[in-house]
Amino acid sequence: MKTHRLILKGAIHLLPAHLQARYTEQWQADLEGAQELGMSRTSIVGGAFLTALTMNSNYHFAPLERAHTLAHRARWSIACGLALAIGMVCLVGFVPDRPAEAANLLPKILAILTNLIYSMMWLLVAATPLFFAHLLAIFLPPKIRPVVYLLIPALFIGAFIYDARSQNLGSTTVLWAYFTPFFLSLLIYLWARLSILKAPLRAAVASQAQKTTLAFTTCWLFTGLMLVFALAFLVLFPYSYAPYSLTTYWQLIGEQPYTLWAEHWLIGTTLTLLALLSAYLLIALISRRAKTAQGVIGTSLALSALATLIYLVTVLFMVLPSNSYNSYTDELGGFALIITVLALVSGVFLLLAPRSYRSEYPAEKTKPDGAVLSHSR
Amino acid sequence: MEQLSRITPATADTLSALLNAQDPTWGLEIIKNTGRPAGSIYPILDRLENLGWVTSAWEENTDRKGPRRRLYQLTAEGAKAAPDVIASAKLRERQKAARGTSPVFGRSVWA
Repeated sequence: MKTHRLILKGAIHLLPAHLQARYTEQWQADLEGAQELGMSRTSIVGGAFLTALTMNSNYHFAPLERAHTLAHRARWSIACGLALAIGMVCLVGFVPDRPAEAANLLPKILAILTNLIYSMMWLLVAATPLFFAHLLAIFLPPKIRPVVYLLIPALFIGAFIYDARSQNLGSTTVLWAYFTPFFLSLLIYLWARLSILKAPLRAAVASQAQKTTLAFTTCWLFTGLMLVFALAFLVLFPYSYAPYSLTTYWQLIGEQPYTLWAEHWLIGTTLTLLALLSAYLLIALISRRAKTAQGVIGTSLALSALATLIYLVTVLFMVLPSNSYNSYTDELGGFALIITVLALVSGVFLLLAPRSYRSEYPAEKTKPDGAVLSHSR
Repeated sequence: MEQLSRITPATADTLSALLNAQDPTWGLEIIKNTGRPAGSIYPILDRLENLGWVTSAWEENTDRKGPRRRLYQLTAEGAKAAPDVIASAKLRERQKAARGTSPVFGRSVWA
């Protein structure tokens, strides 16, 4: 029974803060009464976990004013765009200048992998103008929005074709290496956009679709972060080199003894996890919602703050002398400027945007006969 | 009351259990009566409640010690609409079975 109660507490902590009191009492009563009905306590605890993970907390908020809804959706758009763009800044310094270069230097499988990652960099590059399209679409009439989304990808496809022709690559490589990840990115991004547009007016927290999209976006961000930390360690490590591109990086790793290779990735990953934990705790402290996992990772403000934090770390490395991040200064001058402006603009927007969403329904109402009812519509 | 966007067999079973009960029913009893796992019924009750099909209240005037149980009942509108929803869900199940799909395992009986 004690174990069940303990696990149940874990499930309750997954719920949004305003629902925890109700479900604590309800599920504890169910747990204690399970034997009376001949039911398994484990099934109650399992059910509670499943419910906490899948519960649509949008139901539990009051309707929003239209202006607040727009601001809320704009915040999500900015958060997605900013995270994708900053993920790009973290990653783009680690790719070779041209896919053909990788093919000459590496075994075929690594060349394919390099090309794939290279094309994913373009995917992130593509996300930056889409971010602007997002911002535009929020304030445009619905009929014009599709045009914005069609126009910008069309421009990018043209650019990709031109780039591929200049390198004399085969059409299959072009399609595989460039277009597929690009369209994948586009779909993910439009999915986020559509889910934001289609969200009911009362939605004050992320829907399942938004959360999934954010998971993709956050993956990009964290992959960039992992590479940044991993390479920083490689620079500090006395037996390692300071590579300037992913091609050289893999080539050097291939030359190292296996123990070094494993050690490098282990420590790099550990550092990344520590960085994530620190960011998590920082955000939790700022938002004072440490007990609510959904509240910490599921807000646009939190994602924007995390993305900006990571960007600042990257910039800090960039200005330090004698390290591999010096390579950024040559390749990323324009990008860094754009991202800095984006971070500034979005920071000001987030500060100025109205924040009166999340007005909750009264948790309980009292019936005339004295019975206590939950909110009802 | 808002329309249900998706009506699963588990939703129909939950509505059926609520419809058959004369008084407000303990959530765990609904789970037992439907014979479905708690992980299916808890979210359905939450959804039905928030769409205005069901209301819930804490039990009162009980000698039992410990946390209060949550009792559920259909709203007047919910009770009116529930039979149609249950009937259409049953019809869909029958049609699915007629097409050769097992309602239990969700795959073709010919497989």
